[in-house]
Amino acid sequence: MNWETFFLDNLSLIDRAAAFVCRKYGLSGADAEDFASTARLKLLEDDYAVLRKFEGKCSLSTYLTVVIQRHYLDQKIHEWGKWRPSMRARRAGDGAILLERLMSRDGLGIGEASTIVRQKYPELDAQTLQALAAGVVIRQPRRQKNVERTEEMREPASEASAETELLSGEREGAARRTSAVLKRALDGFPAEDRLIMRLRFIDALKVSTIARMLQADQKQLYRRIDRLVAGLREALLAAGVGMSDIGDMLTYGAEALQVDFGSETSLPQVPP
Amino acid sequence: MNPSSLHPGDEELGRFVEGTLDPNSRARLVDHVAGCDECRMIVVNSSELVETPQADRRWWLAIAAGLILVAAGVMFTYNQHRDPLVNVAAAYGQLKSRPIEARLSGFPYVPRHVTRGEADEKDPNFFLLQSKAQDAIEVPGQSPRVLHAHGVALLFNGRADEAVTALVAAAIREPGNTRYQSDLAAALIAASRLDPKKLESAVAMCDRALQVDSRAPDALFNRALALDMLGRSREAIAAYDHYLAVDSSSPWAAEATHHRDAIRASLPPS
Repeated sequence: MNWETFFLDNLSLIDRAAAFVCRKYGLSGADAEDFASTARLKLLEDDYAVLRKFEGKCSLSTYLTVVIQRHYLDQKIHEWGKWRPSMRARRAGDGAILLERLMSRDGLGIGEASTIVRQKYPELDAQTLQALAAGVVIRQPRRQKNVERTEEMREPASEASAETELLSGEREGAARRTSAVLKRALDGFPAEDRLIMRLRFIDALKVSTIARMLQADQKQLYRRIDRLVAGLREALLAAGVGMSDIGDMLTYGAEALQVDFGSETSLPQVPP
Repeated sequence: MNPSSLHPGDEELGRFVEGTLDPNSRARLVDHVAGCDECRMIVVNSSELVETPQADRRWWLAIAAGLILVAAGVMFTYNQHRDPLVNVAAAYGQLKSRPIEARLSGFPYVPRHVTRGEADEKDPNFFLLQSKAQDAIEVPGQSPRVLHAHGVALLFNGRADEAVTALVAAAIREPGNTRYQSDLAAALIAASRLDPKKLESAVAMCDRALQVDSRAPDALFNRALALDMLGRSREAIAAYDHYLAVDSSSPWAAEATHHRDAIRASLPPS
């Protein structure tokens, strides 16, 4: 087969796949154009090696979408180094990733970080940035325990604020306990169940889509998800985490609450 | 698998997305994707493209696509006639305490126990209800029936303001439907946080429903409740009496009686 002809014949499909990837990862304007060119180059590399690898076992458009997304993520791993943005930021696009990097990795405040982000992404208005910043988890060093109170340390301002602090501490403790229980319970799930939970509750995929991927019966999958959720609920109740605790965390926020669906496979890290 | 990167091959991921892998390869891939954010992200994004029929298939796929379209048409018609709230109502019936004070049309009676904090979130069945509500929210379409389902489902997911918007859209499209008007009033009551304007709008919506059917029990109950919350005690007593004239024996009637008597007891002796 003449791979150059194949490439040219499918150029519009390639460009559509690149445009789709740009849209999914929030690239626009010159950034999107740059990325589309690098995606084409990727397909030309090594005498069309990527196209030659294609065996026709899935549709060409799906294959190209996978290849071009992988290319995008590889590029980003080069840029980000060891720091890896959250899934949430990755979904919201490069502006959100930059904001998260500045706030979470570099420790900038929201004002300073927003100013920098708006210089590069003027299309993001203050309200959008604020909404994005609200979702950024700031990694803070662990608090030191048993620190003696010094004169510089302020006494609790009032009984009310002391009570708030106490409640917040209790909430944080409950959140940590909840995270640990959920992690233990999820770790006990088989890989397929863990994947189902992630696809359904983290990625909000439709049950019909998950069923197609797993080649499973949709109705049975609904029941299976209900069973898995019930299992998690039972684990929480057995560990003394009441639904009211969860409601409390959802209402007042609990930074310590992290749902870990299992450790990630290690990726080859590119030196920063 | 691609040994150089530990990630599966691109075509293998594509086949997973399209659901055409053999069981062994699929199991291997599931093991990997369950723990790899990158691959999962690719799978999730790519699945969006697979939702739409592809153009680069063979001629027989065109026939299959035609058949799928016919089936989709049948499904669409089926969905148009099927109430998307059936499963939501069933899950609602399992609750120990109903999450909103007002009465929703077509939903079974569930008592309301108000305790300190959010009572509904203490009930494990509430999460099941929310899951069913989410399914209803995902039902596509803009028909009054679907908009109404979205509105009611949003109420259970704590999005009362969005629920009002969806129910307004349903009520505008089908103004003669008392169910939509009354459920809109229920959503306004839930979204009001005692805001008098929203409560007055709720009364107005109930009045509209009652113009169509003067004996609609949901609208009568919600009207009395909104007046009660507005602090218009005497009108609320009259409204509860009106409700009890239509329904004197159901659990809702017992609740209406309880509310009415409580208001009476709180009034200064005349």
